[in-house]
Amino acid sequence: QTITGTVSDATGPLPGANVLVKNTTNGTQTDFDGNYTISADSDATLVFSYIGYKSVTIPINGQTTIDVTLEEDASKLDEVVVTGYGSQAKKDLTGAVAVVDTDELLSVPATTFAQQLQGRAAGVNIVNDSRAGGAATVRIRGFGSVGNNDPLYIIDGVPTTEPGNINPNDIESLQVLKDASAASIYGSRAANGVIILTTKQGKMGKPSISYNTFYGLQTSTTSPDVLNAEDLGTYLFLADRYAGRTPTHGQYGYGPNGEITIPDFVFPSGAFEGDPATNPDLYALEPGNIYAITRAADTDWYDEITRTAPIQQHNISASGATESARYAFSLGYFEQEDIVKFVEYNRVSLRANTEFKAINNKLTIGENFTVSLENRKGVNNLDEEQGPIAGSYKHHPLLPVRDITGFFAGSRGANLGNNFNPFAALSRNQDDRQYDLRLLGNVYAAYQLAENLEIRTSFGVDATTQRVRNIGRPQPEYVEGNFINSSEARSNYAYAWTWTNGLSWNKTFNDVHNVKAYVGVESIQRYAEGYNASRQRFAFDTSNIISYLNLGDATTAQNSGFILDDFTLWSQFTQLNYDYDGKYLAQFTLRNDSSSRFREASRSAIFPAFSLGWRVSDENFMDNVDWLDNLMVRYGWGQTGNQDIGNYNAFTTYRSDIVTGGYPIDGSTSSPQIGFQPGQFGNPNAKWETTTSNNIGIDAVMLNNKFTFGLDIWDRKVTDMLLPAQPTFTAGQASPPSVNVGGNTSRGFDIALGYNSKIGEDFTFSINGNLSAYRTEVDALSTPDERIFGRTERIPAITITQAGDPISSYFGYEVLGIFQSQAEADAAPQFGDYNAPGKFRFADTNGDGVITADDRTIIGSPHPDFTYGLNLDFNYKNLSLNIFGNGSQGNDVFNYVRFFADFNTFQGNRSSRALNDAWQPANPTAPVAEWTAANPNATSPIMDADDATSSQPSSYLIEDGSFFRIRNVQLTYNFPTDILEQVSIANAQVYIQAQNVATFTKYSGLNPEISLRRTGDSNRNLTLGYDGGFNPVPFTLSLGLNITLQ
Amino acid sequence: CTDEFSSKEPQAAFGEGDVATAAGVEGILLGSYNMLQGGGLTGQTWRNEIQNWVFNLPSDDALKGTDAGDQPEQSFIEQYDFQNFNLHIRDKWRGLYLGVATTNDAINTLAKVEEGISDERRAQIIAEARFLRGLFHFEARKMWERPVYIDETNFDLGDLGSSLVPNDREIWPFIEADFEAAASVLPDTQSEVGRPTSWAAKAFLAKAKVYQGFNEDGSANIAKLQEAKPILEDILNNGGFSLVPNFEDNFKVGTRNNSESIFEVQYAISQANGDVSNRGIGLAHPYTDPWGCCGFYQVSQNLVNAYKTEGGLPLLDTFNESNVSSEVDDTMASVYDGPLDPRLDHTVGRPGILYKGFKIAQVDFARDLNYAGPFVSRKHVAEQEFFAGGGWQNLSANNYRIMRLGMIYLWLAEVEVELGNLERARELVNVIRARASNPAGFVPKAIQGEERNDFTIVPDEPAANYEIAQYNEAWTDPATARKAVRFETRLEFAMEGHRFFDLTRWGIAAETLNAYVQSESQSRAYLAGKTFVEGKHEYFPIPLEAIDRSVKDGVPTLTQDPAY
Repeated sequence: QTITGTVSDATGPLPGANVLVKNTTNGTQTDFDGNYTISADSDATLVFSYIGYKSVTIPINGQTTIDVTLEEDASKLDEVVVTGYGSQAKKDLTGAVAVVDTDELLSVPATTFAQQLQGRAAGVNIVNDSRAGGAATVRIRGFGSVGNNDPLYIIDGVPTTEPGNINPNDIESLQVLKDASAASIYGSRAANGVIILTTKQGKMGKPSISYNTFYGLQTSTTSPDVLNAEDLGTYLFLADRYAGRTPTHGQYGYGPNGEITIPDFVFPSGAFEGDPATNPDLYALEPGNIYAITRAADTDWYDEITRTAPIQQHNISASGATESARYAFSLGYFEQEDIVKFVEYNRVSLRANTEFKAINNKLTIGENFTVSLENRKGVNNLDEEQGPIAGSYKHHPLLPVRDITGFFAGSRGANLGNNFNPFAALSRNQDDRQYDLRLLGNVYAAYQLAENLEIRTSFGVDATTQRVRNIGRPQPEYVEGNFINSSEARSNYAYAWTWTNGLSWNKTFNDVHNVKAYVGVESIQRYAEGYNASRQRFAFDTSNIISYLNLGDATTAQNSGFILDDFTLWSQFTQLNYDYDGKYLAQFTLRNDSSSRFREASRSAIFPAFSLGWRVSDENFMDNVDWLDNLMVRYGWGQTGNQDIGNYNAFTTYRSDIVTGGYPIDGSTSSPQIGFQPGQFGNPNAKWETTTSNNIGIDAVMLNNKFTFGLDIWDRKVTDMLLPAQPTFTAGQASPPSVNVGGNTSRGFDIALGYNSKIGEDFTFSINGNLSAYRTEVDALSTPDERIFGRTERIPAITITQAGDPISSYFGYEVLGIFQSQAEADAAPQFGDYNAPGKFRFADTNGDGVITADDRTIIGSPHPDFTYGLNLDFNYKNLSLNIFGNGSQGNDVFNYVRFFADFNTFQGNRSSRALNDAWQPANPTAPVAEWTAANPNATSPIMDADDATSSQPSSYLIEDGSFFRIRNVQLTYNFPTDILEQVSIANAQVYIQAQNVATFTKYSGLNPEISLRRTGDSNRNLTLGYDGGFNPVPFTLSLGLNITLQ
Repeated sequence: CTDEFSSKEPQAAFGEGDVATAAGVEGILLGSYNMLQGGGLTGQTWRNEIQNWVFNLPSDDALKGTDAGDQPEQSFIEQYDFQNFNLHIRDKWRGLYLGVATTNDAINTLAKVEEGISDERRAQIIAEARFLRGLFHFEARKMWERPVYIDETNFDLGDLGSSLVPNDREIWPFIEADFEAAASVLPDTQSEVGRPTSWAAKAFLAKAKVYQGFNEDGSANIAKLQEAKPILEDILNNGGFSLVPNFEDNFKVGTRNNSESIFEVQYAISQANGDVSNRGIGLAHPYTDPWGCCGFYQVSQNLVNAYKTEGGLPLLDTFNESNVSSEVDDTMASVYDGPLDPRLDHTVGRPGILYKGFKIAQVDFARDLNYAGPFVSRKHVAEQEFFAGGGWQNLSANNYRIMRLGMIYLWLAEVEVELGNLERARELVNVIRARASNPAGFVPKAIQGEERNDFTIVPDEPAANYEIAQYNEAWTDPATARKAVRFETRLEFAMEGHRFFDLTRWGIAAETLNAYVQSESQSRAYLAGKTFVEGKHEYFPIPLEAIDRSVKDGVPTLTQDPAY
């Protein structure tokens, strides 16, 4: 029979509501006026649903007209979420899945959704890169493996590991599959969780056109605590004096008691006004004659390199749908200038999503595509040793930005150090570019074969090209500089395609046995390669010349070409869902993957999973518990894999390059012959890394949907961990193959809490919070005593990964305090001849009476005790206020900045700590053995120009990185609809927003939030929390407008 | 179809099959030569540098230089704090054994090549590989008392555990065997100058024996010295080598591969690429333009003083009782007018003296005068005409003369002293001194011009008061003769990376260096209180990471030097 009716909500008819014959795929949507027509058996049941509303189920019982009014659902339990190759109602989820509120997500302006996701979902730990256009490091439930820890992203069904440039405004829904029972449908790449994104589709109803924009200004609210020119003079005087030297300096003059004289010039060194050597006529800055006369200054370098910088976005979208076609289109522009000068990011993105139905709505064909073009301008080494942020605390304050002619000033005068002039470095690199062009999307078709059976195919493409231009301008004023210019061009491209075919079937037996099944196959191929070329000695430095290789000296040309990625994946999978009347739920998943990265014997692997749910609140015995709206208990078990081992792990190969294989065997002074060296050691025996996880969860909705509670307790055990081997040095050198070794166990919990209520007619509020914690420990590496050290720069590695400790634990000497006297220094275990008043007292951890390399020990952990987020929403009439903050507690940070700023490392500036917190003798003229403390509570060691020991890896360089940051405060005004209607505006709002309002931390660096460095390095997870001088997070004040026309 | 779809052979790389060919083997061998320079080690360019400048820092010749906080790990080496996790020590080990691995790989790969290669060339390839293998192990044996020896039977490129060999035996015999085998096959001359001749192999064989020529207590190991003697004589008499007329020709790009060279580490540089230049020693250039970086590897006052002469001869016992001043007068010329060995100013850049034709050295050559003084190193720096090929102006093609005829003379002199032939030893030393006294080779006097880089050369006038003579009186006392030969060795080869190892092999490191620390700390405050411990600091610790990575069946195959 045919049933007709109208679906409406409190305000009127509801277009686009779903009407479904229960337990079939037979469904339709309401039209513009909320009307529907559907055929169904007279004893069937209809389900009416709409996102954000409670579903209503009505048995037909022979009626021909059924009108329904849907109620808004604050708990959104009936929301249907995509969880894999299919979808499920949120309330029926049995795995650990975080469903993120997209409105909340979008409330924070950011480059990427990953930044917006920070603090929003329990168990998802995100560290932002504060640079303009910076990405974010996403870790789901911590660090599980020594190798790859990046989650997999599924964007409209297309898998990718690089989600960065999706326009956040296009996101319709975001789900995070946290445990293996939920994620194992993605098998081999799901070990670190899966983030599923769907983008906006047109909705039934009149077409709507929206415009969203904001404009903000970003400023730095912090600065490095460094010395000024005079205080640095005092520091240097004391450092010489306490080293037993007669203090002298190439620039400063010293009085007998350390009185500081600052010269008028730093080049010529230490010269004063009137000195004939400072005659401007002598000035020269040319090859063979460098005499760049430079005045002394007292420069605040941080101030020189930072600025108030704008950030803005414009987004236009149009969407709509009829019964047989849906369309959504958007154009977005995002632009952020960095608070560091001459650094900028912008992105244009275009999206078109359409879908068409034919053959009585049985055939569906559609596509989702986005094209984005990103443009990064200026330097990209903001966090590196010679980067401008580092320069802001290392560059000598006596140096000015410019010399007497206005050319950039360098440090060629005596004792001024060897930093780049940070301002000059930024300015010279302002024409550097990195362009990323990406096409991402899929086309799909589905056909309803029978009432309960649908076949679907999807072909997805992810194609990227990247073009990098690095311009090297001469820096003759730099002490290690020269007059040579250069230009480098890099180009990469990558393509990946994913072809998925699946069959889904669902049916209800006896009204209560609901069965849903899915089988599918998928093949994936990805390939990427790159080219690189450079030339030097361009005739002119203007960017229209130096940007083009052709114009450089051809005899200086260098080039290279290489493969970046090359693999295939072939998979078969099935999923079975069963529930008994929504009360007892079960899901089973099985996936088989074959990866080209493994040899035949270990190529295929099976990833099983199951999860069970019990809706306690539906039991009869709960009937009288009125305060409980929903209570679900869940358990899941599953296995997922990791195959991130490079493309040709099985093969031993050779390389041929000048560095490792070149030698002028014939005695040529200019051209070597090129030979071979091994490039990669092969390991044909590698197999999948397996993650096995357990998850117990409780979801509760209480007090008439006012209070929501979710708790997941989980463990995650990684076995056959894929780790780059550490070959014995006598085996030679080549990229080490990944080998399966040992394991790692993590356990933790995620809590999400929410409360919303209404006071009076006009005031509503909601409070949402989440907290998550994990503990992780390496169970074993390839041998019980194997130790893997992290990256080394100027001091030996400060992180270690070994069995029994968390991945990337901090390792070094432990500082117990500072010797207050010679007697104390003599009584303590000796560290060579280091011990002396004012020096560190290092711990003799092995108790052998002396301090040696064997006393280095674990001195901290980069892993937080817990992370948390808190979101407050208040609405009063047309006003709403949102406050959001997040934090991390108990994690340590390795502050590499201290190595340069607190000790006598190079001849640059020093931190205030190095002078003001340093131990000093009360009687400096007495012999060292008689020194007494002037400041027994000093926290830094005595200034000593000859001390190279205090700066060794020790707990002094490790700091508590805990912080809480109020990330967002936003006040929004919604224009009254009755006014808007008169001008054909559906809705409009304006808002004022402050970001990064305050950060509460004891960390002494500019930013406690430390991104993972060197993305792309397979060992990057072994060096966590390494602060090489990170950008501060800017305070941003913005004004925004959202407007929708219909 | 599935299997085809799921199989990926390596792209953009050479497979093992590609290199198991005649051309492939030659290429692998070339990769071994590359490791002579040391720069092919990933992640660093200079800790494994063959010129050993970092490991010469604990000697009495060299100072770390630059400023105090630069490269603290070098300071630890300079100051006898040899930590087993010091990255310099680790990377020296890594680099040398990478060199060894490539030679074994060449030999093993050669065995797989069936055609396209003559038997004669086969033998030569093996001989060249064994020469290099001996050389890498030799360098290791200088660094560590008990390193490990790996040959092609231990090594299998496809099995990362194959080279886990315990360091439980003395490796000198194996080093000698490699050089002996190479000497018996290699030709007397090579058309490609970078390849070793039989003379080169013989010279290293003799060097290996000379390095075993003294016991730890300093007494002579007569048997070893007697083995060395005929080889050294053979090279002198039959090798066809001759000393170049000017001492400095051993340190210039323009006079590479000359008649004195027995084996050189070859460097090359083009405008496009400096990867096989002498970049490993690039940091050790003056801290002023045109180099700018980085002021490492400065020179001790002690070494400068050693070049003082009296009657043209060195002051063997009293040289360090007064300092050669570094002061300059109003015209920026050195004020020191005492007699000096002319080799001083080819070895050391000192204020007031023309520096390799660039400009007159002054205190602005040093990065922090107050820290490491005014004297800078010089021998490895390329002369002005060969300056600045690539992007970094410190790079050059100034070859490292790792084996030159002068060494043969002085090693033979060492041997003759211990065998009691003191007059023969004097003769040999005098040959070296005679060459050094060639006035044509003296650094010329130059007068500072108005601008910093300007100077005028005064024709026919030496830069300083050079006075050098031969030992004209008969040598009768072995102790004095020994001292004279060793002093000559120091003067001739200073700042070439040998001094620390010489002191060690002579068994006199502790006494010499502790006395040096005493005197040098007068001007270099940071050396005060530093101690060379006899029986320990003669050798470096085996790197901790090498031991960590040597585990086989749960037990490390490498064991630490018991002195550590």
